[in-house]
Amino acid sequence: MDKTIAVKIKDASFPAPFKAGLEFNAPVHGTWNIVHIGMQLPGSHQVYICADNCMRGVIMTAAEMDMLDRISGVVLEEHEMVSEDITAVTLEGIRELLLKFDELPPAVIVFPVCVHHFLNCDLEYVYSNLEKEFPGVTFIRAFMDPIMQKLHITPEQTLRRAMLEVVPSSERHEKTVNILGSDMPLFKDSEIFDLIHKAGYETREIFDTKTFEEYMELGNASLNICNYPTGDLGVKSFSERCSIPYLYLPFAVLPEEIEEGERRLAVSLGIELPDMTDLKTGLDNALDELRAYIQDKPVAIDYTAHPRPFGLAYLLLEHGINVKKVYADSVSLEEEPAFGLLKEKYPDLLIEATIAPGCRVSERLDGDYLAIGQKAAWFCGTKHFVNIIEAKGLYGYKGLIRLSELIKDAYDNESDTEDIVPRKGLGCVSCI
Amino acid sequence: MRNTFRILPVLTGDVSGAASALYELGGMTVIHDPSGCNSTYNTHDETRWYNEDSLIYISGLNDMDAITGNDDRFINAILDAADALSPRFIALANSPIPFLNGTDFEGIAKVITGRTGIPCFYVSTNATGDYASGASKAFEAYVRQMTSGIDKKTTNKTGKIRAGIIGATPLDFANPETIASVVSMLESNGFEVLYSLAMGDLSEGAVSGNLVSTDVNLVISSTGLACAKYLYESFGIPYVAGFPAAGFADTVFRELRNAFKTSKPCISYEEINRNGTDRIIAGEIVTASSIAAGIKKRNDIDVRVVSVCDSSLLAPSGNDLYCHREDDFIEAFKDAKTVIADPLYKHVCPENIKFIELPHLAMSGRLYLKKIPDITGFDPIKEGLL
Repeated sequence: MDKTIAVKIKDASFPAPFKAGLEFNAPVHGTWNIVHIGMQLPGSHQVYICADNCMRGVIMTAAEMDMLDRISGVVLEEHEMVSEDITAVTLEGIRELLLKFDELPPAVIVFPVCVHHFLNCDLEYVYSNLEKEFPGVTFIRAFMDPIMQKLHITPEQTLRRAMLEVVPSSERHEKTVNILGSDMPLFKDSEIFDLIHKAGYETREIFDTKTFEEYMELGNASLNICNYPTGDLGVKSFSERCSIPYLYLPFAVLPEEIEEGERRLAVSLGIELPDMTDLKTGLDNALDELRAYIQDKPVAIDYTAHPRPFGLAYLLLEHGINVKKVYADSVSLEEEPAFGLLKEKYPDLLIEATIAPGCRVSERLDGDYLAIGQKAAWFCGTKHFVNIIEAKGLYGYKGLIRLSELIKDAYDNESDTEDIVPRKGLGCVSCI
Repeated sequence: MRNTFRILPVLTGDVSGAASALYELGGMTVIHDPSGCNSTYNTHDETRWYNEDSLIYISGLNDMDAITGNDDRFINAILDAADALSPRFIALANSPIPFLNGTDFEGIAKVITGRTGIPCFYVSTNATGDYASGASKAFEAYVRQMTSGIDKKTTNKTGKIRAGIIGATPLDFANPETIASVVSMLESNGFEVLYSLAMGDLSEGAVSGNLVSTDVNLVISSTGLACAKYLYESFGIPYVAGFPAAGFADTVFRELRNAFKTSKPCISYEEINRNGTDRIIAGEIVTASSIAAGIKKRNDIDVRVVSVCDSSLLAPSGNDLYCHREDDFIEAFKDAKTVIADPLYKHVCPENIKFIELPHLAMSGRLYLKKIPDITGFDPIKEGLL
């Protein structure tokens, strides 16, 4: 076994099982990037200020979504980076772009890049001048600065925070619960909705806001919930600023954590948590049935499919399902308990890397696997895979029961992996 | 005026161009970049990524290493990967931050060569150039490296004129049938093709001995010109720039034979004079000019070429134009009656013109991949130019 790309969990260090090095990028692109995320903001227009090579990826992402009309660029040329004032270049570029619009968008998401940090761009000067000249436009202060992501926060976290920074606080708080910070609508049959509705609250996700005006009313909620790790920073910050109670309810997979989350929610809503025994039994039965159905079929899970791949592996293994591999380059701090449990009870579970250099030339011919996630599908070379990202919003016991059905469906049916997994932004329009 | 793009994408960038050029040559290309360069490249601009392994990586540069000038992590990561994967060569590509902080890539390449014994060279991209510029630099750097220390051509044993094809990447020739057709046409016209630099079945032939053994080189895109000039100046191998487009292939092959006889290089399409401004073909300059020359020769129709690639590689001739900015394209197309171009250029064309689609991977990425033709068979007359 090449230990640069695969390690048994008993031998793996936490939270980094593999040595950092050069990075490979698999031809698997279902996860969302900042372009996809930004497009959720109704009526917004994205502007990137960067060099050609960086510009190409974001514009083509939008092109594949058939949304070229919602994205523009100011291309930084070599002489501008080397010899000119980056603040002036940035301000003039955005200004010239906006003057080309027949009708200005209500919101412009601005993405400076790594070089703006290094060339000391005065972005406050840029924004204050833009706001003066274009008073009808709300400028959203995002960044595409991946050079910061290893030691600081990611561009995705910055964007999710920036998108909420412009929402005004409201003195009026409706009986509405915002569910924010993720890209997949939450599974509507989840018990979380039963709880919220039982308490007399409505729910609202970003997908429910159809206009910029509706989006700007997000501040009138009584409770904010975030389920997705990279959304936590932004939703928490938004909640604090707007004095809205906040709950981070991650996609837990172990029963104790699911119930703990739902208990916290019930307390916030001012209701009793109903007895969850039937739901827990329902999940156990569903997983036992799945085990009986797929028998010893080897299963691989990847981190793009679910933010808790190790927890999910543990849950499935506890029901006798033959999980052999988890594809993950690092282990989330949220997964430390599951990692410990697996190490103790299932020490031979393999962790496989996805970005290590050797991943480029690893064998991808084991089509016998049932994969959960696109990366696992590609690395295993299988056509049997659950095509989901970000847990597909499958929250709670009912969400996991639904996931068991999707696994069964993947066992029964082949998918065209080569056609599906290279497409960007699962759930978005794809014109390729 | 700043370089703004309201609706058009920019062309594939230089870093991707370099990676594309070196893809099939058995080396390892490392882009010194935080994130994104590899994903952008392999998602939108690389047709081979899913099924054909090639060692192309990013370094994952972080801000502290960039600020403190810590090159050790970069070097050590390359040494680890080289040790495990044994590439034929290692190419280092630059990106904006290492460019701005003056990272000494030439020095790093020497360190890596010294410590691995594997040839390592620098491709001086910085993410501000277009794909043609990056591919051009990569081809030239590769050939300089591979021919270093070689000073002789081998003897011609077959009696046929031995040819190399230079400037082949999917960015210009995404339909692999194109390169196969060019090889086949050369062979049926009496040439022996030793290599294709660098895609298709003959890319494996682009090794040191063959690179200096051809009698003549065919430059099929502007990405190959600097490399061909180097081979001409260093080894006396003449070149002909031109693409065997419909109506123009005979001229290209005739010029190749002339170049072999006279040892003089030429830009084959420049001998065909064209005027007129209301019919336009936009695209890579060598292929677009060759298509326009073929139309002129066969049908006596003038088509103006709008070159979209770095004009420092190959300047437009006569009445033709080079466009780089979105505003340039709007101006170039505003009085046109017919435009042959990638479909995305429709966004900046007047509404009432005749538009003939010729998708270009370096412009529209994989959006129209299935519609990209074998360019040797692309016939604008059949497509409705008349």
